[in-house]
Amino acid sequence: MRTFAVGIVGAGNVVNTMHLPVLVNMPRVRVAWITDEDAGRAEATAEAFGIRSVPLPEDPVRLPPCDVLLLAIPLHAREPYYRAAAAAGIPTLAEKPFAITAAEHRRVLEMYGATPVACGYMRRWYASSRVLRRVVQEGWFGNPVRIRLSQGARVAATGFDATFQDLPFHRGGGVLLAIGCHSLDLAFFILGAGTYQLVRKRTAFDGSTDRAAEAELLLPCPAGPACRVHFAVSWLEPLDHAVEIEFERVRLSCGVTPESRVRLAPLGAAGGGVELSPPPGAAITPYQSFYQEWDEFLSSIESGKPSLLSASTCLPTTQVIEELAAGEGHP
Amino acid sequence: MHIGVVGANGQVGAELCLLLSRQSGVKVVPICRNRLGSAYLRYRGLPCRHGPVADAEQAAGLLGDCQVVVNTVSAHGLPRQVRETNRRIIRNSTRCSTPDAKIIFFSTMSVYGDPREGAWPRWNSAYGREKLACEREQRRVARACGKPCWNLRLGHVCGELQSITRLIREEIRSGRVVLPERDRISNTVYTATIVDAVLLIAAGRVPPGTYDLMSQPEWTWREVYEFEAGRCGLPLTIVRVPEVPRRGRLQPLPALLRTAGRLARSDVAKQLVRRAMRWLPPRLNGRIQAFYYRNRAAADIAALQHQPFSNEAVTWVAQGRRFIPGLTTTRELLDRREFCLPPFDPARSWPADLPRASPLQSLT
Repeated sequence: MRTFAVGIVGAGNVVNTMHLPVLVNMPRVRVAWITDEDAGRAEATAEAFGIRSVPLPEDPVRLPPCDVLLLAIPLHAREPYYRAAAAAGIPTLAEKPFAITAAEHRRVLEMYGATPVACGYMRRWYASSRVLRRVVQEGWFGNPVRIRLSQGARVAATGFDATFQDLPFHRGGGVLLAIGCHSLDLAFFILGAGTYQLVRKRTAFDGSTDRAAEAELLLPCPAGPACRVHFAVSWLEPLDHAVEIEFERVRLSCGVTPESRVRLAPLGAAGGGVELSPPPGAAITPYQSFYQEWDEFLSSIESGKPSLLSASTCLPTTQVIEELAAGEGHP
Repeated sequence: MHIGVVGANGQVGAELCLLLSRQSGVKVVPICRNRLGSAYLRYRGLPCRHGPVADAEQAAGLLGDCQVVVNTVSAHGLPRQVRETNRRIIRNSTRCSTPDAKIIFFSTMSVYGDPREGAWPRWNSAYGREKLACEREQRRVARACGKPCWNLRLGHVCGELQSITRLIREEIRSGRVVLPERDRISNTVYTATIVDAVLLIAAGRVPPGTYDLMSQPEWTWREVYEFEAGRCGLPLTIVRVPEVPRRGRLQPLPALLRTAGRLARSDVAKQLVRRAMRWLPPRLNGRIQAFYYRNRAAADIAALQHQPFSNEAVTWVAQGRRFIPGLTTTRELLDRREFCLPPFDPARSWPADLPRASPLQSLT
């Protein structure tokens, strides 16, 4: 099995708490270097994990060599890195979301051409997501009639530096790009859909930063009529953290965390039902999902087959978010 | 009177700000590090100030016109960062407020250590230790600045925006609330009483010092659940279960045997035992196997019969000892309009930020 030298741009929270702990545990990975616009932060991370930090060059073309690039920096700063990696033919895993606008998303895909580029929607790897996708794609209960996705909480502690989340939407800030993208991506992933129709939307803007959004969409199903998708995300009020799929006679539901189990109940029953056990080897912790994300991406590079995380598969998510944010926050 | 609330983005801080905004004679100054943190308050129509109080250069502009400062912050991050940030906030919020400011620091009943009945020694958590250290720092800094300070050790905070209230209401909605047979003091404090305490302190009616802040008079868990069921308009079904008696004082020999038992259940130990059994007489093999199966059965059966409390705190001992004199009864406060959250008015959302405090008003 080939060993990949991984270069990392961005030494923020997700790299420190998720990617690096997983990467240093993967025998097929050698973390070649890490860099960040904050040199101190890169050095501190490097020291903590026993890896090499390098100063961030002004021109990304001058980044040290690597086999795979992890790009974990705010959206508005990414394009030069995409361009440099694409030109050098370096497969890239970008932290979610992939781009702010559909035009930018397509532009980056075109830059990469045949070079693998993926987006880290790691919830696709959750055991619950896998179960839901399988049930829908294989038609266990027929065609889904309705999907409800909601996630939200009144933000209290902002913990690590949340400055970029206060940026206007067109610079990569706001709740849609921070967490809404996960739920929307999951809907497309479960249904295997590549298109949609936006029926209605409502977005609450704090200046040019979206803080809450709600929408109804129609997504095509594997067989049968389109499925109605209700989506809600908020930083202003607590919402159910839930994924619910209704079929003609049953309802499947789960939470949004990796350990959450899928519950099967008759439609209309309040509570009750049975819990489905996760399939063996499915990710039920965040580290497991990040590990499987990396494992699959590296395997796809080796085999030459398209990755399940390929950035082209999340273009519809970018499109929906852009439409939801259109108006006050985004021209 | 300007009341600055540092950490207004937190659960307690946010509800405190909304209730203070309804009190006459009070101008609440919510202070948050960033706009993400203040989004909810601004969505509810409360203008805020933004900036890190931990930064001495910015603290004067944030607190310089505040005659009362309420520090609700509990910093996050690595332990060393938490320690340094908490201390900077305590120093700056004391030094950078008005010369005659009253400083209120929100501590916690966690400073009393392990709250479970019979726990001995009452080990303190890292959080409890940090808060205790903050109380000491607050007293020291307040003394150095010649300002009075109050350390308030809060119980479980209940209120419309508080997570414990949400959990209690979910339990009530589920139709089955499991409480211990013995109805215990809940160690809860409603945000209405917290506001009452802040106003009494602001009015100069409470001597400076360290106090436990609980609802007045203290409510039992039954009273809390009954009140919340009333608020939800739902019937309350309480199931009383006996508590599992807790071990008493630490006794060396039983503790050693328990540790040995845990080790014996490890995989390595099991493998060693299996290897040893090859050389032991058949009768002993039989007894060891029976011992193993018996214990497995006991554990599985106990798991079936155990009805865990969804809220472990219902078994904790009463923590409050020294209370603020003169507080109004919590029940009376909760019936008053000005101690309920203001209704949401979308027309008032996203007001302009509060201007910084004028340099002439501040004194470092």
